[in-house]
Amino acid sequence: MHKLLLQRLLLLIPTLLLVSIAVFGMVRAVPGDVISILLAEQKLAGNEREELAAKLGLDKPIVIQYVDWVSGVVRGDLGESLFTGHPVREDISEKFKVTAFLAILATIISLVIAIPIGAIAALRQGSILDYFSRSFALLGISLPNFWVGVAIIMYGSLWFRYAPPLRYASVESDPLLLARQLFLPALVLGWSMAGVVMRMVRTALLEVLRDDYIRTARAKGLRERVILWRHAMKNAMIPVITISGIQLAALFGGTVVIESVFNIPGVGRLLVESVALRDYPVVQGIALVMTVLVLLVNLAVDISYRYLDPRIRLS
Amino acid sequence: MSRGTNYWERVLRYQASRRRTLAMGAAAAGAAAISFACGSSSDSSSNDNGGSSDGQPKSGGTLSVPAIPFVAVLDPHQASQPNVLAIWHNVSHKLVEVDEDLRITDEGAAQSWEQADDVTLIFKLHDGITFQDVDPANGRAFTADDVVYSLERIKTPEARFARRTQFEQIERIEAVDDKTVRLTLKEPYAPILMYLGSMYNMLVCPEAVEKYGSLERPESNVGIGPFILKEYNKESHATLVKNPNYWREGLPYLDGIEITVFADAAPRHAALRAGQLHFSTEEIRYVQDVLRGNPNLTQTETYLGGLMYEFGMNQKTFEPFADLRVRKAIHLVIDRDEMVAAKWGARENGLLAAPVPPPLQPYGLTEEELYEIPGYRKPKDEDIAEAKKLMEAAGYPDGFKVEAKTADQYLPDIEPLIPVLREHLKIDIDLNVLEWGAFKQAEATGETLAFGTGYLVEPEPDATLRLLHHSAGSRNYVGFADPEADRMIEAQAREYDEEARAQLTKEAARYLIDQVAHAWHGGAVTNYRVIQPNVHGVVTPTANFYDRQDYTRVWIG
Repeated sequence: MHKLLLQRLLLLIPTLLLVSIAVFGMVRAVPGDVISILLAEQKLAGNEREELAAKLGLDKPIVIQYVDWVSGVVRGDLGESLFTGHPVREDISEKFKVTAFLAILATIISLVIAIPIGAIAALRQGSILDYFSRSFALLGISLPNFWVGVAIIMYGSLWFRYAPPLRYASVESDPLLLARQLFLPALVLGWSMAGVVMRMVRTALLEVLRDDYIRTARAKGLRERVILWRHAMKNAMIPVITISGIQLAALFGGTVVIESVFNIPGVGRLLVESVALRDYPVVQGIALVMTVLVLLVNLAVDISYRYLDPRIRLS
Repeated sequence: MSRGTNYWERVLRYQASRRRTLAMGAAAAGAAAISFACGSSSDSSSNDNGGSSDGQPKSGGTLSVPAIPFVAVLDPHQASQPNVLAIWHNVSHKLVEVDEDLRITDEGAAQSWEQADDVTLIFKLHDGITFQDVDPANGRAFTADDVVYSLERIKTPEARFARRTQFEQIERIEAVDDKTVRLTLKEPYAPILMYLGSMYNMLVCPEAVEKYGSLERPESNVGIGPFILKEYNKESHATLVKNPNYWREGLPYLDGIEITVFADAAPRHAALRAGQLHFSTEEIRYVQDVLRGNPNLTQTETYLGGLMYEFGMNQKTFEPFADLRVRKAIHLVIDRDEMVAAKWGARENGLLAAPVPPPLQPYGLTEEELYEIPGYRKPKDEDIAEAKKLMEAAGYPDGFKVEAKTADQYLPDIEPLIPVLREHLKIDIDLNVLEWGAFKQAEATGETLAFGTGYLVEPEPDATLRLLHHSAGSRNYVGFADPEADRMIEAQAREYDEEARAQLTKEAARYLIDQVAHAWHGGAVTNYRVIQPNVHGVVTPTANFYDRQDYTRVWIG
């Protein structure tokens, strides 16, 4: 197991290297440059543009800029924002915590909704409950989450004069307040994720419930609840964990719209702003950290298979 | 304006208000002309929008206000976007302040000022000004040397010091004694006082700049203002607390200010309806929606006065635009009423644009005066016929094709013009809509033939005339170069007499319209300030050139 972990972690290095080259190149290939934006409304005289480029280290050949950046990253230094001069690591660490909190909360909510409803739908296949839960899932998938978010915000304030707490709290200072602030957006995200997961639970469970070992369990006279939760559900969980893992990883970079709708200062918003400002080090830093997180989530999903089904050998 | 008014009542009231703006502008904003008289009093201009003002100001409470994302830098001397000023307008002061009617006041560090001769200004500072009692200033006395330091810093000859050109005419800044500052100009320069009161030109703490290397770190934001910056998070919020040692006795009334950043309008409106925000400035089209959820909110009309939109014709990169006849033909066919209506939802929601914005009185041509000028006048038939003749005379009877660029946010400003140019002049615009950053680069490096763009200008005629129309103007992206225009622009800046200067700025504006330096069309938009009824002392300017978010005298009842 440890050997496997080490192997998988070592595999991160070439992946990250490729991602770093791609991000570094792509962010600079986008039309528009940081100097024009930095000096928004000024027409520069003489060699002022070149002077500023030199000051920001943008006058060096692109390969040297890349090597400088990567050597910093290896030492844990993601560089400094070209706009504010702040260390990128400081700027993005807090935002990542907020987004991670939101993503994990949304994933938990999606599982809490999807697993029982999916199980009921499978057990009562063809019943009204089944149709109802499938409609609920379809609605979650079909309705754009930003639209649901705007509707909640708008009608919550119009009808009940309610709005989510305004004051932003960090994870360290007041996690409860942060949870209150993030509950509604997490619910919106969780619902749209739950649709997919619920369908997966239902399908996987229906398949498993037809297996021989379930028939054997029934023949032995085990109670239906024990059969479901101890025998069937565990096996049905493998595709569910896979899909939830993919959804969680996607959320690290995919919450930007919901962050805007609910006014959450997460990493998605920072990324969009930084791309608009061509703040290269911030964009690169976020992309790199996102890549690491996605790879780690995938690794965690893989490892979880072994616990769910010992027959699976991870190699 | 009261609640529950229907559309036509609002329109009629708007029109009355627009006249009021122009009339008030003539009387009041004119006083902002650089009179070089002694310091003016500041107690006559506040109007209380927050419901009843009959009670005594009450101390305590935290004001909750919204802000757009602080995407810009925090250093006011380097900032190019005004959103950080919600912080700086409370953390420090300028040497002089500009009030809501564009008058120079003694609300800044200077108690009075006088003109010793045409090129010498002497400022006396208020007694007892101290820095905030936070590191590294630690409450020390504020002196004339600190003024010299701040103004010299603004003048720093580096690209990032965006306001350096405003002080190019300053020859010397000297501290005569602890409380006296002398400014020597290179030549008579009328805009200087307005620039000293310009929103970005804050007085800063020299030790903080020395200690932190810049003013980018929140802890370096130390000043002489009524509030101390306690917390700052670029993406989410800023928290300011009362400065207990503020040098104006009894002020501020509030214990603090909580500024929340909103990237989107929906959560801001929700927070306003839910009573989590004390006030917000909203575009006219959103106001009824906001009020629907909370009928207790009051609203006050204002203008975002410094907006100007143009169809840019680059006279250096596209030959037909170098021909005045072609530029004039385009200027003549633009239906500005339609452009304003397309941009702001209805004609009465906005104002026309011109070389000096109409709300900037007495310097700008009023809308009534503009309507007499070809291109602005109605109906359009005569102008369109004249435009066709001009195109023929210029050798383009069948028009031409030109590539234009714009940013997505300016698309609604330029889009209505495309069919008009095709229909009347057979000019085919191939419009490329770029992302903002890409457009800014194209604009700044002159890689455009034609473009649609907008500006937010300061309330000083020299700012729009010099920056946008002078051959050396830093925002003259169309490459307009006309010696006569340069002469007129320079002449108005040397004229101290308000009436004479207004005459010169209007003459320059007429000349620039005639020469079609820029094809200006739509401008200022009507906004409403929506306020909770228990908030008092929020000042709403008639023509809001920038939101002076100074909450020194705001109190919560």
